[in-house]
Amino acid sequence: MSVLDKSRTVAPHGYNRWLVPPAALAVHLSIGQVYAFSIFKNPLLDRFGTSHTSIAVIFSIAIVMLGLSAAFGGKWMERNGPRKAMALATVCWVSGFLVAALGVSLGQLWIVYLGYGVIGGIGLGIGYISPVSTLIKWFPDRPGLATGLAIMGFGGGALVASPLAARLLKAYGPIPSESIVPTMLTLAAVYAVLMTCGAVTIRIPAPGWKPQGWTPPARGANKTQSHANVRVGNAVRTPQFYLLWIVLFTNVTAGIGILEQASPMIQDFFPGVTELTAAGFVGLLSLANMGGRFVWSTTSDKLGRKRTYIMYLGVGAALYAGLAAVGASAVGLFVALTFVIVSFYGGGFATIPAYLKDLFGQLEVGAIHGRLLTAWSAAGIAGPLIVNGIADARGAQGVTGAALYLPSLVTMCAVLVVGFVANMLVRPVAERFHEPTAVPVPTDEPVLAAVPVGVGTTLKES
Amino acid sequence: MTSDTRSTSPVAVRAADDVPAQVGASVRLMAIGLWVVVGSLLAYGIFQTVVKASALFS
Repeated sequence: MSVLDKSRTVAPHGYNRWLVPPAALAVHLSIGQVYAFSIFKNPLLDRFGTSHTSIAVIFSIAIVMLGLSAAFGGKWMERNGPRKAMALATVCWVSGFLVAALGVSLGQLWIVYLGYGVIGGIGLGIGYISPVSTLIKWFPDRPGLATGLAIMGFGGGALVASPLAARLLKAYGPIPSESIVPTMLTLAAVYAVLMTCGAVTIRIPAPGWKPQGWTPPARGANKTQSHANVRVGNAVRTPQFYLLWIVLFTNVTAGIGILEQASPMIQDFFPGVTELTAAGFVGLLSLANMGGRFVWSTTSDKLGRKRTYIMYLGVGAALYAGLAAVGASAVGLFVALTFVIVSFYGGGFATIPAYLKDLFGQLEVGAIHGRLLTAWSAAGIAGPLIVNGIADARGAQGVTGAALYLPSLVTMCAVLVVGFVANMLVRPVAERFHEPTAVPVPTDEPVLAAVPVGVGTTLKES
Repeated sequence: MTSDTRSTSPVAVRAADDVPAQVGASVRLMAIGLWVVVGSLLAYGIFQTVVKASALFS
């Protein structure tokens, strides 16, 4: 029996569930480095002597591969368990760095695309979804807290990687373009150790486990919450899946609207703001992004998932409107509004797996989450296109200052209203999509197979 | 907080009890160590970012 097998990850009796989150955080902190990719941008430009777009493509490929691998690998991950998925994510993410370092060393940009973009991107997607459903199973009473904990790590990954990579680039030599290879190799080694520790310590709850003294709440407190399970094949046939796809797409697109242009935006709104101060603003937004993932997702356990997204999308639209109307009146107001908007962006990412669990149950929530992440990939392309396209067109007309961004802000407000409507249309999943009470059990799992009725019943309950 | 409520099926209980106590203890120790590592990394990242963000208010 392989140490990577799902059956080898079942927690021993009395295992404290609070020992599981660090495994998830170890993986997400590592793969969250992708948000700090910009640290390599200038050294890579110098190394390859190519255009900004050619270098930006590396990040875009990685994000597209994240969505694709999460979508297609989710079902495999559910079948094989989190440890095997984390091990695969480790191999891909670390190999991605190694291949990219080889590409930089040989001066071949296409090898960097293949390494960091394609191979690393697969590691991103599998790594992103692998601990989420496990944590949901450990925290059926607080799924928002569970997903917030894991996905906060992804936001935190950039906060760690950005200063760390900057230090490494400086430490390995005076010219950053010549320090990229050793920096990438060092990061690969660090991530290999960290992610392996995560894969080793990850544990899934024993069949039938539930938190002591916890009983599933009666339906009514949260009308969209169901105790039934829906398999991924059925989930993608429901309108709820596509409504949540729109919800995630609009929330991410709107958040990117600010994040993409944060530094030039504050300088255009307020000509007195220096580049250093603008960098401080970007740092503050990073904290909002990470903090929002944990705080808002945890809050959703009390508030309910639908109401939380009403807040993200409804209040978010109002804040965007406020930014367009009075954002230029004071720096403090501008910073406060954008801070909350970006915290909603992070919160939207972290709360969506818990929303999926409410609607589709926890049986294949990881696989369903993976399919939904294609909305992220789509928004990653659409968001910057909208913001940059409008800003470029306005700039060409000779518009300057805050007016440059006015149409973008109004567009993002409208995008959020679309998401708000989609969220309002979400209803509980029709019973015809539910799995029968006794869930069919794979034959390679003797413990589960021996007690199919009990397992099915408990899964439904939790 | 801890996980003590589980199926009373004898097969499930036996499967869990088969896990050697030593392995359980080492995993617990490793998980606690990992908490320290990821917590320190997060604290480092947050501190560095707060320092960077402080430029906004100076």
